[in-house]
Amino acid sequence: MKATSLRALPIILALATGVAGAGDKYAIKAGTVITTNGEAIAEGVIVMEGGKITAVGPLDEVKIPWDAAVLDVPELTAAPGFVEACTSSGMDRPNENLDVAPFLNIRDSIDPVAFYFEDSLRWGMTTLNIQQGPSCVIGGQGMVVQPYGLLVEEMMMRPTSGIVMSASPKSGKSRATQAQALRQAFADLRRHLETLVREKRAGDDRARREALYQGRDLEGERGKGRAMEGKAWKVEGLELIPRGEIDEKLEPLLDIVEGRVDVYFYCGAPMDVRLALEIASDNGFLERTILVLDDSCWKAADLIAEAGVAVVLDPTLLHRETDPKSEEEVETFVPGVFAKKGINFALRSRNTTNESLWFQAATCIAHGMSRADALAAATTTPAKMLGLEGRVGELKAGAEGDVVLFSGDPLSVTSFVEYVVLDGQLIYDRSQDVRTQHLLEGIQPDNTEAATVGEADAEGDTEDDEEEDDGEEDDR
Amino acid sequence: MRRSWLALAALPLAAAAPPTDDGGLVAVQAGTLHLVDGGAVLEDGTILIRDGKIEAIGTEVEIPSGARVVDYGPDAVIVPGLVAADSSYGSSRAAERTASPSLRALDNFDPYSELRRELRAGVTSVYLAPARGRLIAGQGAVVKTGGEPEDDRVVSDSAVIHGSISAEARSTPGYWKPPVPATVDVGLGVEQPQLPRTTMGAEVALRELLALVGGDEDLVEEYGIETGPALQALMEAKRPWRMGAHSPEEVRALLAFFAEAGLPLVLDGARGVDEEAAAEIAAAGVPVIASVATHGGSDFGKGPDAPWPNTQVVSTLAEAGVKLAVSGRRPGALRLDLALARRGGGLDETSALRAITLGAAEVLGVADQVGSLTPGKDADLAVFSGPPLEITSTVQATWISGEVVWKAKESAAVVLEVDELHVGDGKVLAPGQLLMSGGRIVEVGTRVAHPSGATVVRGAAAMPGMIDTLGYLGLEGSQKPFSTRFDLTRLVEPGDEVDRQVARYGVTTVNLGGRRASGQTMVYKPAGSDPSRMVVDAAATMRMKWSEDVPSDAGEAVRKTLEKAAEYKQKWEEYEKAIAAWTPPEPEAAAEEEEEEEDEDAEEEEDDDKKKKKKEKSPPRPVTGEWKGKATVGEEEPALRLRLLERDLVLEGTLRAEGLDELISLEGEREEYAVRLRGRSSLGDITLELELDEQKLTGTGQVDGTQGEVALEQVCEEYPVAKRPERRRPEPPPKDPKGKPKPPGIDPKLEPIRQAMFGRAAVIVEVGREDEILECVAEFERYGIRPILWGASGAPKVAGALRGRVAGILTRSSVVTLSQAGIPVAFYSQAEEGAAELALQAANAIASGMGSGAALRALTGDAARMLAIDDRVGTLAEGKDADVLLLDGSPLDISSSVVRTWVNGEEVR
Repeated sequence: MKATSLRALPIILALATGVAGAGDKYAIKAGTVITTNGEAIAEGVIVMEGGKITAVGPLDEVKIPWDAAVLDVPELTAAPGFVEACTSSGMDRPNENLDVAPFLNIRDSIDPVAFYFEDSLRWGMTTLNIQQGPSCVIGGQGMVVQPYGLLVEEMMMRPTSGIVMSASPKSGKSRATQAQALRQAFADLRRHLETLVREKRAGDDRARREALYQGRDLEGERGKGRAMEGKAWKVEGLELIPRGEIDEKLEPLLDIVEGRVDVYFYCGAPMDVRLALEIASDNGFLERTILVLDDSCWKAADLIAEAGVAVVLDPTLLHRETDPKSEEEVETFVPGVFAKKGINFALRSRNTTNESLWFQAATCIAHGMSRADALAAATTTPAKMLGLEGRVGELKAGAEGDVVLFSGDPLSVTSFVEYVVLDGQLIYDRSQDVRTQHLLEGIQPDNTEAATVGEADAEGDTEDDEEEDDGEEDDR
Repeated sequence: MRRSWLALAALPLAAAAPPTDDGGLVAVQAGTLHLVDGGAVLEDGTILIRDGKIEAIGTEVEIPSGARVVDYGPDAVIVPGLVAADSSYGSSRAAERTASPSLRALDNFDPYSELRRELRAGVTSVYLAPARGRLIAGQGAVVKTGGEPEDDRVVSDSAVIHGSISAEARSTPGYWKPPVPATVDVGLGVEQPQLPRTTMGAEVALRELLALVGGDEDLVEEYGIETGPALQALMEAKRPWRMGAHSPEEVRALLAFFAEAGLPLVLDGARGVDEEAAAEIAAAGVPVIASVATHGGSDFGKGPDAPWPNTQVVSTLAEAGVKLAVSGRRPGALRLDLALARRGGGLDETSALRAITLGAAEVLGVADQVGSLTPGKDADLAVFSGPPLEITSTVQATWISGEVVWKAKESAAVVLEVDELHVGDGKVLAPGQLLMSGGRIVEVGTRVAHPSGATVVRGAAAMPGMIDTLGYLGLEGSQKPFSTRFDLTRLVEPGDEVDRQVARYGVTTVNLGGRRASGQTMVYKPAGSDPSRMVVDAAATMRMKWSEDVPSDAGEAVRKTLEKAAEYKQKWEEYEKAIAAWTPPEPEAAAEEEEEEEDEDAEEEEDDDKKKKKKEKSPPRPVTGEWKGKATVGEEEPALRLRLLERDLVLEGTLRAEGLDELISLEGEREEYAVRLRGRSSLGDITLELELDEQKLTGTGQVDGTQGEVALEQVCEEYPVAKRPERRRPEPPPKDPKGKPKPPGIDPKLEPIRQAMFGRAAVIVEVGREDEILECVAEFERYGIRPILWGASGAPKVAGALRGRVAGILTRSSVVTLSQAGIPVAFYSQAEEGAAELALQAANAIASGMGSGAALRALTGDAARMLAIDDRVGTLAEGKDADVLLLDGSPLDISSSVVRTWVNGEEVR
């Protein structure tokens, strides 16, 4: 009971603050506005209408409509919400056990009341690209969501945003069998398409009957046959085949080969990069490939730079290993390597609270990266990767009305997220956040029971105390 | 000066360091080069490398200007980087299908990691198996073991079709289960039975695979739709089939099948073949990747049919003329595997080296790139410290594509390999080897350990450094006599050129004394580099003079000194007895005494009270600890275990009771002897009212109204929780308690004589005539000292009487007679740089009839024993200081000379 009431918190907040629904005008007056696409604006105003930003600028230049609800917070800093480039959080479980399953869709796995989404607001993350985990050969289709809504449809920003593949062996496979499975998946697709064309030419309409039996769409625009657009290889005569006749299981792969879908390729070791790039270029989707890397993959930075693909970095930003020759521990600042090679990279948080995106960006600055570059790696760069360039990750006219108000510098450890505005609606207010209050100030939320300390805990505590006392006695 | 020769020592290492800018042009030189191709061996050859490839090789290669020259010296041997035709790298996880030709071993290869174990063994190329345990497991690859990931480390991405028909292939799953389709569009697949279970099954499967490649549609479902085209592509590329087979039957089956199919075959294993089968393999012209089976310590098998490993199989194959590559699955132990494989004797040196280089490269189809030192091939080199097939030879460096990828760690260890090793005590090892490390001799024998990176030095003979039993080297012309209080070690200073010069002539240890025939002497090593190790014995001998100007006074001074020394010794003995008899007072008692002293005035009355109490009952004390006992409740008597921790009279702890499956937390307090505890159990509240009496706690307990008697006894005084390590304050040095005997002071004049009485030091007495000698020796004998006689011109006349009564005689006149009489003699220089001619004295002695073995002993072992320094110098034995001379001939031969000298394991340059 308690958990449910807390998870529904954002909704309650929205109602409590009395902000009206979408379409209405909303304005924020903030002490500083960080736009991420230029200089920060002191004493700035953000005006939103219909869930979109209509104007951003200094207080004396931007006019606030008379009928707009105004959030006047001169002590706070407004910034676009952080963009999580690739995560498997918020799902019931991250991996499916089928090797090749591009037909799966993450929508069926997202849990809108997962604590992750609520916590994302607290840490200022407003756009989340949720993808299947790396234990697969070809995984399901991911989705970009915002961390707010009771139904997946409400949360959705892009209903499908790419497919996951993994160049690292899934459990039970060796690297060679993983590579074999990846190559075979595309060989199977090609064979299937060629068979369809051959059978169609021979007058066999088994596929059509199957499609009708399955109730697939053969008539509409999407169902019609068209020539294959694959960059690396094509099947002649595919225009004869209505798309609806193509096996549902394989159709998402055809989209990949035709370059319609982004591919998030997991690489768990530098040696995997070569395979990922080979599969991508052999099947013509190199341009739509984003590598999701382990921290050791900086070693393959040259290969990645040559291929010109973008990358999502591991949460571990400092890669440490013992040099086998000198036997010294070598520490590498991973984003620094990619920045130097001119590779587009996005940061990734470990989870919401630990090494969250603000922390990752701050770490980059601590290692000598410019503030703008570090901030971009958590906002505009991932937005571009997700195909949401100009819509999220920056504050400008035309962008989504997603604004996070921090109590200070967004990259400072002492700053809190005070308010979150999504689609022009205030949906998070720290002063109403009972969970944070409970944790930080010890305020017991109404209608909840104080946590009872279990017996085991009690005994554990006393033993701990005793241990310390023992030490003291020894000293005496 | 010292710095400059250290810099010299660093030079050869600097030469092997990676280049800065050489335009990709390197010349590598060594005493011996094995080209392998054609079996050619070059002496003092040069390999010219340009951009990672061998450009030229020969004895008269012109080295272009600007090329970096790396010379490994005359002892080094360079062979092509070794090629391991098998390895356990890659993965053992096979695909589900019995034939999976599309599985590539290369996908398992990590170009970002180096195979250090292989590089250390000089192996530069290894074969990677795609998987094991299938009829056709996939495509094998050949890769380089090191190098930068940007360099192409792949020698062949698809070298062979890897498979097996032997027992390992029978681990193929009996049925292939198609994966469950995820949509209803596709029906469930049919499970396919898979071959092989037997050798004939394997043959059927191979036939069917060929039919599949030939276009047999019926077999597609059984072997998988992608199998046929993948195999066809490999066959069109003319990849050899590397098939595992061990028994003669399996081998024959494969030979017959592949001969019929006209396909190239490489046999993998063939461990069970006999001579007949070997001849058939040779006749078919099929190469074999062979190794001797080792079981890694596990049993060979218990059944009557279980095969024993055939250790002669490689030999059998070689004798039959089969083309061979030898490799176990551990490329790091390639040379060891080869040594095992050669046990039958069928593999001569040339073909053995070929079997781990070019032979392996040919079998794997990569002989155009690696395997021999041939212009045009990759510059992969293995530099050995000696003959490459000797397993004691170590790898000094490994080169891949013209770059040093591994280099032996610089080690101070030196191995001497000589024809004659003169130990110094008369023993000679011929041939002999010696390993020195850390300044000491580690091992002496006919074959000693060769640690990786050790410098191996070969020569004709080796002997211990010579000992000058009395010299002035280091006095720098000073004529002053030393006071006995003078600390001779202050003279010790390393780095003197004259000292080193003398050492280069072989004299490494000098007994240094003043120019007067009395006083103390010090034994040291003038050419050492570390002052702390240069001094062997700071008070080695005491010199005395028996003869006096007035003959009647002869021996008086010595007698007096000896008497004094005896008294002095007596004092020490008394002290030692006293200290042995003295028992230190109990530390606790002492502490109490102190406390009492402090508190006496203030607490006199209380003290009395305490004493009274003590008589009646022991004082109350903390009850911390573990207590065990029982409770008596009616007729039941459950056992109890109580753990308590007391702090400031407050108690906490736990209680366990028999029949009650829970740990009950208790708290309470103690007042004097009364202990009260409260807790809560599942039965209800618990209270314990106990009384402390010595080791017992007795009283009553109540559980939820029920009362019972409780009796507990202490079993342990510690509360059993994990303890942190105790923090210790440094203890103040203990004060000597009252009454402890005080040692007598050390008299520097008498101490060496006292030591001599125990045989731990020596006394050198200058004495002349025979009667004096006898008198002197008798006098010393009274005090248990065997003196060294110096001068002793009359000694030969009384030699018989002296045997066994003197430590030795230092003389120049009658060395021959004395040594033949069985009295140890030694040589002395009484000179500074003239010490260099010590060996000449020995030569003189030999010329006048002394045995050369005895002369050598007199220079080394006997001299050391005489001066009681034989625990450190004098002989070449384990644990002794590494003072070694390398000679160009036998030390017994006068024309031999010292070539190199080591003092404390460091070469004197």
